[in-house]
Amino acid sequence: MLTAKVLGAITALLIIATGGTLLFMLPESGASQLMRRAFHIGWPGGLLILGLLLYFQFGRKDDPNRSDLVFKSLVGLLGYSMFFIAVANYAMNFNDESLGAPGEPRFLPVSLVMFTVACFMMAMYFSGVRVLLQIGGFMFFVAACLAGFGNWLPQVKADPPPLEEKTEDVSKMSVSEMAMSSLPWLSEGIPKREGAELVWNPHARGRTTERPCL
Amino acid sequence: MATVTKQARKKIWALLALGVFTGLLFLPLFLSLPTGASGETPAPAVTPAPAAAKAADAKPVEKSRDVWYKTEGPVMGAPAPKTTDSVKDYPRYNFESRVLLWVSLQQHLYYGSFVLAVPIFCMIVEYLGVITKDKALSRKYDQLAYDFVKISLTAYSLTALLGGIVIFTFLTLYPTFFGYLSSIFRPVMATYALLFIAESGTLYIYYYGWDKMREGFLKWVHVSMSVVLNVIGTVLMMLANSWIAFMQSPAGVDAEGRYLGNVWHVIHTTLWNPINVHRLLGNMAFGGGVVAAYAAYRFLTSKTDEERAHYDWMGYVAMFIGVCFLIPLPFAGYWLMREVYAYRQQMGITLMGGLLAWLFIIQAVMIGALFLTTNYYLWQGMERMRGAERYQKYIKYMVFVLITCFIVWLTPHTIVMTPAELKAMGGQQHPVLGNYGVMSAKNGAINTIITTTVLSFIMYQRANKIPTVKWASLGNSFLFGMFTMAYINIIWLAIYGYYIPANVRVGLSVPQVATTLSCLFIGVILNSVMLKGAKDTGPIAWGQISVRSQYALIMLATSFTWMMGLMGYIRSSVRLFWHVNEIMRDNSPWAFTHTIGFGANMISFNVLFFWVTILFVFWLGSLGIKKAPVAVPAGQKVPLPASSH
Repeated sequence: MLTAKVLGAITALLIIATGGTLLFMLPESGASQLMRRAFHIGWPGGLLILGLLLYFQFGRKDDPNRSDLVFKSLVGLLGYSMFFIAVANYAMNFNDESLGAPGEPRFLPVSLVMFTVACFMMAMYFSGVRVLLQIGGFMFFVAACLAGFGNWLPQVKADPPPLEEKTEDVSKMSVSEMAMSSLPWLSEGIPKREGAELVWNPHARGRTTERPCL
Repeated sequence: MATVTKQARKKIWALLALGVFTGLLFLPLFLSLPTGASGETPAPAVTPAPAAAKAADAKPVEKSRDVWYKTEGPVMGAPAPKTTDSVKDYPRYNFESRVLLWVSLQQHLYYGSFVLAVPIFCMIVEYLGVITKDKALSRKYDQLAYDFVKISLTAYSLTALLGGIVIFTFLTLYPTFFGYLSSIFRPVMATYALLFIAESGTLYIYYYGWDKMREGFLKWVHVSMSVVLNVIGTVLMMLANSWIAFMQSPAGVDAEGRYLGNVWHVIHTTLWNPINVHRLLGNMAFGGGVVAAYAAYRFLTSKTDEERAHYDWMGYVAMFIGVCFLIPLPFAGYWLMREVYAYRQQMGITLMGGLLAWLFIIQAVMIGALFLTTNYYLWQGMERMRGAERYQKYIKYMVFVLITCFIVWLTPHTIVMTPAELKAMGGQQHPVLGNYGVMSAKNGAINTIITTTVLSFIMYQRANKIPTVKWASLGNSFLFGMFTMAYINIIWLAIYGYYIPANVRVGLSVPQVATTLSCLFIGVILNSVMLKGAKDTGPIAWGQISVRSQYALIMLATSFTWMMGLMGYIRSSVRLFWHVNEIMRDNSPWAFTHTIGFGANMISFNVLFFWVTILFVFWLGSLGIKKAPVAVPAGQKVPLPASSH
């Protein structure tokens, strides 16, 4: 009774029901947005597979392999959906700095896990490309582990320092020019660096030291 | 006698042909280098110089000082441009330009490495085929070499295409920077292009001439061509390396980035040679991984036992070559890092103890995983040999040693933590685990891992053999004593390292490495000598190996690829916000250094993209299979790599 096909069909129905519920009950949630984006990117291929599924179901009534073909189309549709949800995840979360594509890059290994699952799931049913799918799934799995490990810790991004202001080349200045250039220092004091404040320090040579602003 | 003379004459002719071939191919290089190196442009032969030019010549030549060599030279180029965040200097799409360049460069590099490494394998295997006296064995080697080059041929076209994409990406997204770089490397780039043409020509003649040059003198010419092919490939790689080495540790220019006329200084920067060595070894290990994955793929899709046996053997040879180059790789990396520290200490600290340090932890995990996988493959490989059962009982102990060392090896010294985590742990280092995060423990761990891998290989070598030499028991005792002493020495030095100052501790790595290398060379050579004329307990049943072992090969290949992407990223991102370190600043909106997580995601993307495309290449290669491999009659030996038993 509960053959692999029946279980597969039940799983497929559950997934479709969950997706549908999310889309209708929580339309603004992240998962719903992801699915909409995936649909937006991958709908032509999905439509093609759906067309094939309907063709196998209703157009080849005398074919003894009909149920097998329909089932494989369904599995293909699921795998394809997972693939595009993973792609949409990449597209939405690729880089928090990119113009037009801000997001959370730490979610990206999830895509690799989805690719892994999709590959292994399809490898179970598509015997012609089983080895390729298994190898692909295994590679996605290795990459998911490594990328997940890389995303594990708190992430630090290093911004470049501010542009340096052009300063006079003292080695090319005459003595008088050097003396003149130091006049503002004598009258106004040494200019403080950005982000620092000068505090009184009796032990320092200039009687002040810089304290960075916290 | 007459035959011998004839053969000797053939060899002389072959060597002469090789000399002429090499000379002709390198003629452009020899002609262009002295001119470039002197910094002079050849004067026109007949035409008298116009008056304006004479006047220009009369002007005093401005001289400046080389930033690295500290020598004076005539200023011959414009200063490095000061870019601004504008469309003129950084034209862009609605996307991060650096990422587009990253993907195209990394793909080009993967394919480039592959097509440089595979002809080297091909050369070795073809040479083995030529010198082997057994005809069947010789044909088998020849077929294997042919299989290797066939895979690389399609990849070669893709490499060239990707090279074009890299150039266009540079020109369209980083025109100012690329203009500056090409103004300095003009003669090098021209030579590169010429050599690329030479490489293509040689490769195509080499491949398509395989059948025509199968026998006698022509076969020697053919083997000679593989030498030429690899020399050109290696020089190409070294020239390309000079560009990245210049960006990281510039030389041959003054502090403003003005070219001082000596192209050799520009090429021969302080990091050039370490990068050359590191990259060559890395390419070989990577190439071995890719070919092993190809063999695994073909093994898994094989329909007959003969095919399975052939691809099992191919996978073993490729894995063997890859691991041979993997073992010295950490030492080459050590040299590179030492040179980085010597060049700019801050750069070394950023790499090993600062912003990029966690990437080295990931690298450590991968190196550990590579060695574990290699051991696993060897243990699986012992299943195809009768008589190997006597070694099975030791494997569990080796697994324990390897896993323990692996855990120590990947323990970080310090990690990036949130304040809450820091408070919970009571400091930067964990009170117990922190002890395993120091260099002393890690040196001990990695040397123990490598020594255990050597031991696995020795077990593999003698799995179906029983030594019959008179001194066998003495040899066995010596091997046992040597490995026991090696383990004691490595672990003792690791413990001793905790009790001495850091500057003295650094020196302990030398005896540890020497111990490991002694085990490698003395152990393997002694074992091979002992196994001469050894009693067979049964033939190697090639093809009768578990499917899991093939996934181990795929794991090796994926890890090599990932590690290559990772190390490339580390080396490149250590320049931080400089296009050319301390000479030309990156003022694009993407001058920041990405988070480690983002880097890991990008590397994964590149790795998977490469593998999707290379699987396509494999598939294309399988369409053109001309014939089945040479069938080996039952009981006959299938050829083994030279260093195996």
